[in-house]
Formats: sequence, C-alpha cells, structure tokens
Amino acid sequence: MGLLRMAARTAVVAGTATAVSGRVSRRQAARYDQKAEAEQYEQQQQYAAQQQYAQPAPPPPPPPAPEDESMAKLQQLAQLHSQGVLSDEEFSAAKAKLLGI
Amino acid sequence: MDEAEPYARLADVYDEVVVDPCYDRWAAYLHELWSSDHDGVQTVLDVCCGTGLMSAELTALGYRVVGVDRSPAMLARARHLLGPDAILAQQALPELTIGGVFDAVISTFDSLNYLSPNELGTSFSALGRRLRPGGWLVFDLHTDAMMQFTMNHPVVEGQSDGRRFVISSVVDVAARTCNTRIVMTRTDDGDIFSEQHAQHFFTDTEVRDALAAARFELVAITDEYTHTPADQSSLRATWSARRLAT
Repeated sequence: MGLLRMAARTAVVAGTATAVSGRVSRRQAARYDQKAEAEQYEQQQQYAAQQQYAQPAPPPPPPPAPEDESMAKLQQLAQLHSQGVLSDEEFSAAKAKLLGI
Repeated sequence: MDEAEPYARLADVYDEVVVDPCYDRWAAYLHELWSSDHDGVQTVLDVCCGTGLMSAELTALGYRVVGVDRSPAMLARARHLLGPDAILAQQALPELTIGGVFDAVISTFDSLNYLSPNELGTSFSALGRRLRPGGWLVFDLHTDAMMQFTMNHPVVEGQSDGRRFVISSVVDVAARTCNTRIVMTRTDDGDIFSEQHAQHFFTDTEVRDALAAARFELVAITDEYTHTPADQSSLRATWSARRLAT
C-alpha cells in the first residue's frame, strides 16, 4: 500500500504537525535516537527526491509553546475520538504517546 | 462517514495522494538486476499491481506484464492506465489461480505485508509455481525500523491534492501487527471516507524460512530497490530470490 510510507513522508513534510509526538517519543525511547537520526536522514532524502513533484510548501507557522502545542494536539485527538474517527484503542495509544506516559 | 473496504475508496486518490514518484527508479533497478540473467527476462507477473503504475513502467521498458490484484477498484484504475489490451485479473493471495509461466514475479510497495506468516509461505509456493527454473521473485517488505517509526508516530495528519488525511496506527509489538486507519476528507465539499488496513511485520527469519521452504534461493536484501544492503535504518527492504532449478 503506502500508508505507512505516506505517514513517514508526512511526518517530515508537515514538520510542526507531528513535532510533539515525535519529541515525546524520542524522549521515551532515547535508545532509538541513533536509528531515528538515520531514519530522519532517509526521510529527508526521500523528501528531497519528492520535492520537485510536490506543491511548494507554505511557510511554517511560528512554533507555538510546547504546552500549548500539546494541549491543542490533545484537543484535536479528543475531537477525532468523539467524531468516531479514532477508535478507543487508537485514541488511548495516541494520548499516551502525547503525554509521555 | 463511508467505511470502505481497503482500497475501495482509496483507489480514486491513490496515485495522486498515496504514492511518491518512485516507480521509475524501482523499475530501473529491476531492469538492471534482470539484465544479469543470461536466460533473459521478458515476462513479468505483477502481483498486487494496484493502479498499475509499476506495470506501466515495466511495459515501457519492453517487458510483457500480467497484473493481478485483490481489489476490483484498484484493477479498474489499472485498466484505465494500461488500456484495453493489458492482461489483468482479480486474484487474492495466498490463492493464485492464474496460469502461465513467467521469467519474473514481483510484488511491490509492501503488498505482501498484508499476509500472515502462514499465508506468506503459501503465497511463495504459489508464486514459485508460476516461475520457470531460475526465475526471479522480487518484493519489498516493511522492516523493524518501519515498525518503530510507526509506533513513534501513532497519528499523522496532512494535506495533499485537495484532501485532508489522518493516518492513525496501532502497532502490536508482540504480534508484530499494525492496524492503520486512514480518514480522508475532500476539502472543497467535505466528502469523507475511512479505510482500515491490517499489516504484519515479518521477521527476517520468517521470510528466509518461507523462501527456503518454497524452494527459492535468496540473492539479496537491499535498501528499497537500490544496491545498498538493507541495514537497521532501512524502512523498506527489497528481497530478491530465484526459483531453484529442481
């Protein structure tokens, strides 16, 4: 399929959109740091290869304060959950990641 | 919200939103790999051909390609792309009822990750029966690094080609499975659908054993259709094997 690849691509392209979960999970799994760096390099390579086909990216918004960002993300998740977009299981997993628990 | 069968709705946006422009590079790799075969590779069975992008690349390189896929919606797209003369058939692994003997069988873009470990072995045997002795089986699979990446990014949101999407993944590390939900909304009219895709992360040993049991000789495991050997950072590993003569 390509959904996971699409996610991998988007996690880099979107930048701030997934910065929170990325940062939390990196803290949680410091031992994966090296791998994460390697992955990031690879994703950047993929991104660079894809750039010529992609729409020009809008300028990134100024990064909000980490607290606000977490809250906003959490509210977004809760909204997706209440809309039925995320299952209980998916919501719990995402929330745990976000809060670093 | 429309809860669709895998690919039933995704098919319409697959080429625009889901894939990257990777198939020309992947096809060039296969072309080079097969040029080393003195018996020559002319015929290719594209298993899980999807919208037909890979078949189209290989056809342009002069191969005679037959495509099969589980999803009628994806096959309809492939028909549109490849034209009325293309040979396409609806087939769902691990069953393979199509006949013929091919020089090579491919399955790209982690299609085989949709199978269970048992089904993988059965599928390899079925694919081997469609190959001449020395024929090639080339496929790619998600790696442990991809499993780790997915766990680190349980929810990813983005926008592409007038669609807003949310990809949420639940990884079961013990079972080595991943349930991925994609929800896609068309931004201009709010049309929304959801699909759930279940995949399995195979261990290296599982794949090696399944290949050996189906009488394949492993040639190489490389990083995503390159000549670089796959390592711990590879998100996608390309496996090349050949059917043993006996």
